[in-house]
Amino acid sequence: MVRRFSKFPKKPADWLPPTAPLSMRKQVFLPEFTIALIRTPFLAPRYASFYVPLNFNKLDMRDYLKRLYGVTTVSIRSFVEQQKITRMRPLGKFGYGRWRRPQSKKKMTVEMTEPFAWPEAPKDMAAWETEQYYKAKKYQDHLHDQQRPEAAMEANKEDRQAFEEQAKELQDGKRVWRPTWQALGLNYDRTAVNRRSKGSASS
Amino acid sequence: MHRQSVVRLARQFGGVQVVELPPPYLAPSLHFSLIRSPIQCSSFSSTAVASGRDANKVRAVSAIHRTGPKFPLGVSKYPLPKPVSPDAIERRSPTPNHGLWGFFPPDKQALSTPEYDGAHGRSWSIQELREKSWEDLHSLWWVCAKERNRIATSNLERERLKAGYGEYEANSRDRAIRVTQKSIKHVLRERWYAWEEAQALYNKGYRPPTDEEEPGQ
Repeated sequence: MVRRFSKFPKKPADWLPPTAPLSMRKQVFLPEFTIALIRTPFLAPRYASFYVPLNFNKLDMRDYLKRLYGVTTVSIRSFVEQQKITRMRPLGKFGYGRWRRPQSKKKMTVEMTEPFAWPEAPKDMAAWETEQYYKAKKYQDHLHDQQRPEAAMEANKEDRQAFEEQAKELQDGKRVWRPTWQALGLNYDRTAVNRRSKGSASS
Repeated sequence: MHRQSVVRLARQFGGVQVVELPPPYLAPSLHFSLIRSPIQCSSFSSTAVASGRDANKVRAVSAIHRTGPKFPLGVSKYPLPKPVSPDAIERRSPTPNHGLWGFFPPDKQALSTPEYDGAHGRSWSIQELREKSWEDLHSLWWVCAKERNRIATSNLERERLKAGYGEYEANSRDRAIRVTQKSIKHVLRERWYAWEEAQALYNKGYRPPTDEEEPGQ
């Protein structure tokens, strides 16, 4: 169908003016989407940025913020962020996957009537146990690396280092070498056997 | 014959007989009137040159060579602002009653602690929700939507700060909320089916007995 140009475009049949009562308009009673506020220290205090669903438009945003949060907006800018292409790596191998592009994200920057300052990031991260988290992560990554088939072919660097240090200590005379059974305090003196052999020799 | 020499000859001898010239379809350039100059033919552009060297107002103004503008601009009377380090900028005054605090936990921190996220109860059961009115269910849904927005904001901030633990707690809280939302939809769906069945019964001719017609009374 060829759409003919008209100076006065024909409105769709179900078009309603903005002054139409709420009951006549298409209302969303149970929204299932989620929007997230983004930290934007580089923006002026009257601006706030959100990640919104891709099918969201500026009018939706204005209405949503007004009704759910009581935030009056002056203007809205919308922006679709295209994501970088990445490779699918089903077996955790590098490369060789299909190229794909993750779904884009939509950002909306809202100008509000009231300024809003983001709270400061917490100084003390004890509640999130940051150190323990990354220690555990490192350990798990190490374990994961050990499961690779190529792992058996690679040198164990930690053991190497430990052997080297021990050898240096022995060379410098800091430690005296002892056989393992002595170091562990085991007793291999088989007194019963010796006694019997001595007895048989005397008789 | 060369055109210039033809012109000269014509001036000397007071006009050349048109008959002597070759026919115009063979040498059209020879058939011209001597009084009015014919079509202009020149090897250069005859467009009038603008006053001065040329019309380019920003000639020799270069950002690379730091020439600066040729003429003082309207803003030249104001001094240039000096950049300030981010630490020296004074803190913005917080707005305690701003609506966007709804995206943060009640203690108004940038992100919620795993302890706070983990301290949630179970989701609403279907049995409990069946007794609620539409208004109650609707408000509960919006409470859920708001809390999910808060969790999404906290998740973004936790990833940005590389804070550590807290993903599991946030996810379990989010799951409880989603179960509540599913239950709300389930209850509404039940009500819709009940209404449809009642409508079908009514259309078939069934009328519920009123209090006076109650068989027991």
